[in-house]
Amino acid sequence: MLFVWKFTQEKELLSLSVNSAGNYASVGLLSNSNKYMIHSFGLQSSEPTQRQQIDLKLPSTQDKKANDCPIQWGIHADTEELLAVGANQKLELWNFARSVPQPFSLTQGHLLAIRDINWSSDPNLLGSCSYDSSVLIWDTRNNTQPSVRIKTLAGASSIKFCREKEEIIALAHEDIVTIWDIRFGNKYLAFLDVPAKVLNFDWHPKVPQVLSTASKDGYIRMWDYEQYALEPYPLAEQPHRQNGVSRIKFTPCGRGLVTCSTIITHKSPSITLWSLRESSSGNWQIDNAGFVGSKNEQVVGMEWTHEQDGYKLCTISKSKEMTLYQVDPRSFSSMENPEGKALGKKRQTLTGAASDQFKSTEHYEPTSLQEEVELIKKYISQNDRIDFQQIGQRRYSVKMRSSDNKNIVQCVISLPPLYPRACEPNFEIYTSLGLIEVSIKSELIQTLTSTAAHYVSHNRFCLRYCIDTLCSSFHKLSMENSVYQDLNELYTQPKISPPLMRARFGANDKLCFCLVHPLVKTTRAQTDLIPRLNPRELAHSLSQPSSTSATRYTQDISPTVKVFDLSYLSRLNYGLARDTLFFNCDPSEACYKNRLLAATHNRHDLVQVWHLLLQLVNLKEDNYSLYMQFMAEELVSRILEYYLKIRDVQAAATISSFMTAYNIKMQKKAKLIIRNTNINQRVEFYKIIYSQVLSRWNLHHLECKALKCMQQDKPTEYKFTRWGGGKFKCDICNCLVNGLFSKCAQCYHGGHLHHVRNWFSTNGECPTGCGCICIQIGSSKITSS
Amino acid sequence: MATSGTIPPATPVGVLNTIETGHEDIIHDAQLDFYGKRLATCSSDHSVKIFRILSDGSHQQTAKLNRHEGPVWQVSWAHPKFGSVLATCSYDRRILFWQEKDDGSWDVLHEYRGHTSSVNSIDFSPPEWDLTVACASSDGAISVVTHTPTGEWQEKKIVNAHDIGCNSISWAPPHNPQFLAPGMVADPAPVRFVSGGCDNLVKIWQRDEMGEWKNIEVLSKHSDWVRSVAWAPATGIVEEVIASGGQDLSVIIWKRPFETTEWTTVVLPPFSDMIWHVSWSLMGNILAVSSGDNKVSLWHEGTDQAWDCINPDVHGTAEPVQTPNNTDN
Repeated sequence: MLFVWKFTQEKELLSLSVNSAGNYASVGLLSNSNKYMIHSFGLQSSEPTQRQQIDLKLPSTQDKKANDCPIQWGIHADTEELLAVGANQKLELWNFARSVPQPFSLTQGHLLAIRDINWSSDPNLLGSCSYDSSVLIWDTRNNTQPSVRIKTLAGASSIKFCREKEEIIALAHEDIVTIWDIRFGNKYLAFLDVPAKVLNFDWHPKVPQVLSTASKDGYIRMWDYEQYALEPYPLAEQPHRQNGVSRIKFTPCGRGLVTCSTIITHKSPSITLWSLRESSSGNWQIDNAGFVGSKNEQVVGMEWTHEQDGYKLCTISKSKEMTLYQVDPRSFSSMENPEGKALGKKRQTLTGAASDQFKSTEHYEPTSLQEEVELIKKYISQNDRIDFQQIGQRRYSVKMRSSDNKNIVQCVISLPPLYPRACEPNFEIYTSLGLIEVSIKSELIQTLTSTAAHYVSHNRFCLRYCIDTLCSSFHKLSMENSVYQDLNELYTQPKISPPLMRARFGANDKLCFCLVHPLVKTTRAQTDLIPRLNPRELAHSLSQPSSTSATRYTQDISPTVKVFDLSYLSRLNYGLARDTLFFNCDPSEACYKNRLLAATHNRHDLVQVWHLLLQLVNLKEDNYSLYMQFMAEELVSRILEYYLKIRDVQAAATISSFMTAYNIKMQKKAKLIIRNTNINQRVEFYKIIYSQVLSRWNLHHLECKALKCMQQDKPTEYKFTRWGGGKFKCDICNCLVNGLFSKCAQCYHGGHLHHVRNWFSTNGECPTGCGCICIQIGSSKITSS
Repeated sequence: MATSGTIPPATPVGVLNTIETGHEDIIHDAQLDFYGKRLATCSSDHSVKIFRILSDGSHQQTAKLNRHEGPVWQVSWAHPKFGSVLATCSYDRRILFWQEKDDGSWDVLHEYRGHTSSVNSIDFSPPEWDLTVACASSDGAISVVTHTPTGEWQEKKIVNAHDIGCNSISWAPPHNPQFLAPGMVADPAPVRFVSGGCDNLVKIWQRDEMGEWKNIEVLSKHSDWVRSVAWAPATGIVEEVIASGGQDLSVIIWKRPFETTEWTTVVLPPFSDMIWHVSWSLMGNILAVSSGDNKVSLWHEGTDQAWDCINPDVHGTAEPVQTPNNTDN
């Protein structure tokens, strides 16, 4: 704390303003006689010297709450001698250029007391808002009537012109901040929905679209009204240490914030300094940068003063003190480069990603299309990968090349005659090499159109931003299409972990895998990090010591895939499956032949099973007692149980199918019935699996037979709907096929033999319209069964 | 009749085919199609090759697919009921669906670009659940892409399925093991898959009635990245079995009777190197484990519930069994 000036004669301090040179402070106050006064102080010397006292000769209103006396020094060079004062309904300008300040009033426009006034960076514009819920913009050259009248529903408590854009104002309502362009005063540009009551806000001094709000819930929020115009969202949120933030102000160069908290019990309000950092992604980070001081009463005004030795903070508080704080020079200078190294001059694109192509150094709004085109040409002159030219009346072409010249994207922009008013340009995208998929293309056009629409809706020129968007999108596209540029990066990324070897079962238990060359293995032992190594590099390094070229290595390692048939481990045997008989012949003959077959395939267990079944089948009826029946059933179920246990799907399914076929054939004389439901269900399930096995072997006719022998009460979901064996549906007549049918091996459509034959005598395509060309010249995929 | 559950002394089968792929870099995956007639291989050289496997042990290359821009990690064949469809996933963050045209050439049927990092694993669901593919990516997300019978491509993404990244994915069998319990009417099988990731966890996901994917189970026993998971096919026993292998040199077999919540685990004897891949045979009785020391070991569960290595004598070679005879397939 440098200095405290205690007001003793006065009743209340109301407002504070420091002139643009930073050496002269004025305080609006209420005297003991309830009159508005303005006291002015020179700040050059070590302590403020009182210079002027102006009596505004206006009594305050009786309403205690409505006591405001907003004052502000002109901020432009032309108006720096002017002090704008709002007292009650009157708006006055005091000219301090003369030895005795003289007021000249503007015509009364407000019906109730003025709450806040603010100068625009346009020297002639002044805004005011009042309790009568009107917001007026005055042109000082025309003091008879306000030049703009903004209609808001509830009125505004506070008004501030954007420091970089003279026509943009922000108005604070209860818990809303609205942004307006005074040239189009009928609709706001953006609408910032602050979660709590806004007590104060401030525009960023350098970045035109950024502002910060202080609210009652104790949060400092940063907003970018352009970036989230449709759905404003704070760029950053920082809770204050204490309850509520009453005042907020950016540091003169915008690299920090200073805030005052509201008064709460036990703790006096503190003035805190925050540093601001803008991240590359367009977000802001707020960090606590130090403590400036504390007050025992609420701070009602806060301004920066400027002297040779730097910035000081001048505050007035409810305790009728004007205080000058020295901000810790170290913390201040570290974040606030005195010359203000053009922070915030970096343009934030609408997409949030600042593109390399346009780190424009100035915010120059073109006023005509020619100017904009010139501007764009100036920008892209720095980048030889972009080509911009006019290709017709109001048609422009932007061509972009990737760094390797392989990929070219051309965007043709057709501008409407009224551009930039009212409607957005039309975009067409052409690419080389079919680089962009249709979906991406339409997505890109959509992004461009929405970018353009955003600017055009404010009647602003949008070409530059569209090219900007295109650049960043192209960057993204080319990234996506050549991600595998850097092999090293791939293998140093710990996330990426290519499997070196996969042994996989496929088809009917065929195991296939790739052999890894032993060389790779040895190196692996040395590095222990094969998945993070680049195989090509590895190949290279391996070839180095043996002084052979990498080609030799490639020949050596020429990756080989080996396929093993391990179906025998699951006891699957193609020959057995193909030749086993259980239909269309005498059961005993089938058993006999199957026994021989099993013998030739070295399945001694099956030889015994078929032998047993042969004996059961051959039992004479007169020898066949109930006891025998029971024994036979028990025996067969034990056999099946054994095969289920060792998961011999082929044996279990074959035996069961044979039994079913036999039982169907013998009808009432059936002898081979399993009554154990558990075994039955499991066998049925094995048949389903076995039918898949058969289908993998391309033995579709057998597959159908196996399914045919399933019991009728099986759960329907396990039937293969399309090629489901016994219940094959003819796709031509839509009836179930009982006898022979024919189907396409590719699409599984087919039907009655004669229907299919008729159809394909004139057609090549599948009758269902599935798109399969079932019959081709010289080859037929149709199989009969 | 044999009385034990050991492998019968059937005709041993050796190498069926040896395919010189001509790939210029390491092959990451090779998979046979449904019929075992075609082999798809993918490699670090960005390409996918398709070979026709002939029964006489010879082979011929039928296609080379060159649309990926990074190493291709895995391939997966769709069920032939959907035609000749192949899906590949790559480091270039894309998943490509390929379809064979009439002239034998392959075309990209669909491209999925929903991931922001390398896609490590891909698996086609059983055909009962339409043409659906699940894929696991290094960005920690799992995507399920479905081609509905009406011809639309539906995409569902599970973000943050695994921290750091997902490595592997495998679908559950489409059969409801419930139906085997006596006297019960089978409900439709729940649509589930299992995933393994860099957070050392194995997670089971289930589709709810709304079509959203929910994590219903988290299995944690691995002490390092889970590299591979495989859900065993339904075997006719009321039991669910999952195998998982990881960088902690262990293979864990998770088992539980259906409709219970307790998973019992069997840890295979420790391996000398990290596990790249685990794969179940058709009947779920053989587990092939590929480990970092260039070996493929085959594991078989005996009738006494103990797991034995069928080929304990693999030394240096990756060939599971050395026998001269050929098959009669």
